Amino acid sequence: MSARMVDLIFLALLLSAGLVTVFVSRDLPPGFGGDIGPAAFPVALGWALVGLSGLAGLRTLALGTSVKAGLPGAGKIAVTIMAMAAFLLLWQTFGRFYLFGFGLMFGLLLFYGRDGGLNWRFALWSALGSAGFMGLAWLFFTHVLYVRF
Amino acid sequence: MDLLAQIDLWVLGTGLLSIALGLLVGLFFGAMPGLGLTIAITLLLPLSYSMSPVNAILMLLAAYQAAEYAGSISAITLGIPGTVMAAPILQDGRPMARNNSPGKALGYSLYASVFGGLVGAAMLILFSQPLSRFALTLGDSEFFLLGLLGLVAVTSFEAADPLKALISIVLGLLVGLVGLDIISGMPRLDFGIPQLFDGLSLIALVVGLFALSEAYFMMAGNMCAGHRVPSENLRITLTWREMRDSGKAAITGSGIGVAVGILPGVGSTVSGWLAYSAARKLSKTPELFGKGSPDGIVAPDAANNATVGGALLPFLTLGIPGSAAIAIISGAFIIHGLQPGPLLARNNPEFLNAIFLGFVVTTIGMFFVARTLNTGFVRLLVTPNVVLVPFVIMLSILGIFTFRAEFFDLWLALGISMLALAFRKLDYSIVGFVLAVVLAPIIETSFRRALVIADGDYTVFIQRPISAVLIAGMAVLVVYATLRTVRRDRAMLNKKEA
Amino acid sequence: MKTPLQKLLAAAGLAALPALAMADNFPERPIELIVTYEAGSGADVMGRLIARLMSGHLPNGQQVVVVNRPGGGGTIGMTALTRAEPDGYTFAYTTSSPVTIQPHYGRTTFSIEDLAPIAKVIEVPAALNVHRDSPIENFEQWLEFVRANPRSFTYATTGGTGSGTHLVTEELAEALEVEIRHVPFEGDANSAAALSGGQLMGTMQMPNMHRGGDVRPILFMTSIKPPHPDYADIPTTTELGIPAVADFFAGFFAPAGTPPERIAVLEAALEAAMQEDDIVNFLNNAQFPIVFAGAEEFGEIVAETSTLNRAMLVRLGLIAD
Repeated sequence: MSARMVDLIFLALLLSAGLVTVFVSRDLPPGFGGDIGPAAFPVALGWALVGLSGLAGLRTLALGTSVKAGLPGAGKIAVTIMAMAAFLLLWQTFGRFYLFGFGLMFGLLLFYGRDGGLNWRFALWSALGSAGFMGLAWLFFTHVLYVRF
Repeated sequence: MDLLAQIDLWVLGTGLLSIALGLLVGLFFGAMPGLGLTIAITLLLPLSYSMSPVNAILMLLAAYQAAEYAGSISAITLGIPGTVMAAPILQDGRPMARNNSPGKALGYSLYASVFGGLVGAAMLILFSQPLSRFALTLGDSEFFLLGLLGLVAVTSFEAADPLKALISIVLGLLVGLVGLDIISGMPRLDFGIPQLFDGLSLIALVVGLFALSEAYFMMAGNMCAGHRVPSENLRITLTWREMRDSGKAAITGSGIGVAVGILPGVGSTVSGWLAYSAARKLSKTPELFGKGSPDGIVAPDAANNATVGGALLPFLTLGIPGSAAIAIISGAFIIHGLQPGPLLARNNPEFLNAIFLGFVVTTIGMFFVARTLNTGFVRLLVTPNVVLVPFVIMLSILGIFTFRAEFFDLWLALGISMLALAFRKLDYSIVGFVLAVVLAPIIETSFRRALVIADGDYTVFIQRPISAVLIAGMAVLVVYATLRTVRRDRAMLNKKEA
Repeated sequence: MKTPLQKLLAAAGLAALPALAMADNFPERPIELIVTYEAGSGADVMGRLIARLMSGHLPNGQQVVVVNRPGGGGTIGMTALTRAEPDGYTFAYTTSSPVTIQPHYGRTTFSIEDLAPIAKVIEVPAALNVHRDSPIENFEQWLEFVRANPRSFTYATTGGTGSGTHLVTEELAEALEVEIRHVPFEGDANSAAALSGGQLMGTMQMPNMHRGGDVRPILFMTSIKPPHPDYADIPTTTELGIPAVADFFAGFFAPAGTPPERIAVLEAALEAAMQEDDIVNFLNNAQFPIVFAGAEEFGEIVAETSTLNRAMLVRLGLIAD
């Protein structure tokens, strides 16, 4: 996908966000006693978003774009986002924050560690480090802040 | 020798101990994302019951001052703003620490914070009465115009792409409006989600926008490569020359910080951003901003700490807290039977003097405590990304969840981090977006409330002299920004045709 | 939400097992207190103070652990409460609005039927105020002024449209048949600053004359007043017989269905804690009069306030009947 296409897709998303804003603000009551009402700002800004992203879209079509293509480390970023989502789902469903949190940290360390060539020493230190960090977090949050995860 | 005779060693000793405790707790909680001042104070308050009133208040003020600064430490070393106020420090603190010198970045931040803190203290001691009376004469029409001015300032300097900067601001304003509308009592743009009733959690927003997206950018290249930094670059000291060169930014920042602190209802989250915009506007080298400009660190950091003295000013003189943090500290005043307000200076002048003196000591003490701790923190910057990234991610999750135990906030932060990725990649303005989010409630509420008070009469915005001056200033900025956009697009067209 | 029949069955079930209830050794582990406001807020400070002191009065010396669940104007914490096990090990500290106002908007999953009141511990006084230097000296002069000048008296509330302070002031205006204009604010500090700066003519909030401030009361809208001598001569709506009386309480709730004898244990511990010096001094310094209402009385207050608020919300057009 060209950088220009990415730019246009994002602008289309922004434009529809503007339309959604206008749409969900339609039911708000009018203001009284000098007030312009709760809908005035969202509706005006919603249309502004539609207009501006439309304009930017036309400009991209007319001028081309200065956006650099490609995102360094895109694969690692995608895996990280998915890992975080999976972690949140597991935690939300089963609880056990410290167990899954250890899993997330250790997993990410191993995954990123491939950049330098994995070895047993690194894996061992990663496991110890993640466990140590989660242990400290448990002590602090449970016994000092009384926050239970 | 009257003054010396008054000094009691026991009082002095316990006072210094309370300040030291406040500083340490404030530094730690400020540096941890999501914990921040409020949680530090809930931990310290029970302790303060058994202390003398002066020591109790000084301990809390020390925690406030230190937390206000410490957010910058994690912003610079980890890319996580420890507090919402520290987000502007990231813009230049991160690049400077990464590309030039970590020690200098932390140094600029610390020196500026101490400078800002001292300016705040000086204003508090010298001009508290006239300044707080003046602040009261400002009404909603001025707040509205001040908020607008803040936004216009961003669009006019945003060099990369003014049209996209404008889109970012409009989107930010919309995000800032989410939640209950105080004037009509109606919830808006919340899609029926109860967690959005009070608006987006600012912690989740800032962590997603800055910390997580920074973590994504840290994944480029070989993550196991260590950062080699010459050891003299780890030293947290500034030369006289460096201090003198950033003097202008420090003074600008402190001025803005004090002013924002004094104004009730304008959150301290705004002061750092406003200082950042102003310093960039006044700088001789605005092109260095965002790439590690010392002024870009100095101005917001000075502003954040000057806010502390500023916010105390209307509180001690009029009993009106200038920031949310001071409102929390007012709880400690009441616990100790002190009534903040005009009567305080009349009934307990010796208490007020002790607070003034202690406040100066607190700021100077912060310099030494933080400098010692920073020699440890600075090591984080030579840690390879492979270790840093998982650490940043887990710390972000802990911080967001601690704030109010909502899974929704975590999903929100994850979503926002992807938005931030798109923003950074496609040349939108994250600064404009965040500033718009924090300014939106001020702009909208004061605009509508000014009209409610005037019963729908729009001339309320031009009738008052201060408003008129603000409007003129804004007009100049708008013309300037428009001219530049047109010139830029024409240049691009010419280049294309050529 | 439980139907009355289910409740009756639950009550009957409990009554049928007196032996089990007698043997109850509640509490056997730490109790969780949900505070529905942010850590460090005024309500949180008070909630934590009470939690610390009530531990000393609980059987088995069990601790009370505070958990902050802010958001949704206090309703997120209350929602969490109604979803907790009704076994006495979870209770909440909150103020009047999330209980007696918010559920009427139909945005919450709970109503007051889902809550078991334990005790009311604080009532925040609130008054109709003018500026210290205002030519309006007392309530009679104010009434004269607003009758002669309809729609010219502007007053600030500390919680905005539809908040408790707004509703009771509209009740006052309705009872006196006068027209005054509401200006919504957020928080005491902002409305006090606007009054001091001359933006407004009046406010509806806790006055601050006792600490030298500009907010001078002319009529208390709550049946109680701060104990400070400055306020001794100011009338209350109750004394004048005006049907506009607010009760801005803060109190403790358990989920509906919590065994009554466990509620009694918590109530007793709270009552004892409220007599401790730390709390008495705190309330005295904050100029809050000392009030305490047990489970039964508090239940009546909650039900009555809720009904009145609902009627006013309908009349203001904020909710449909």
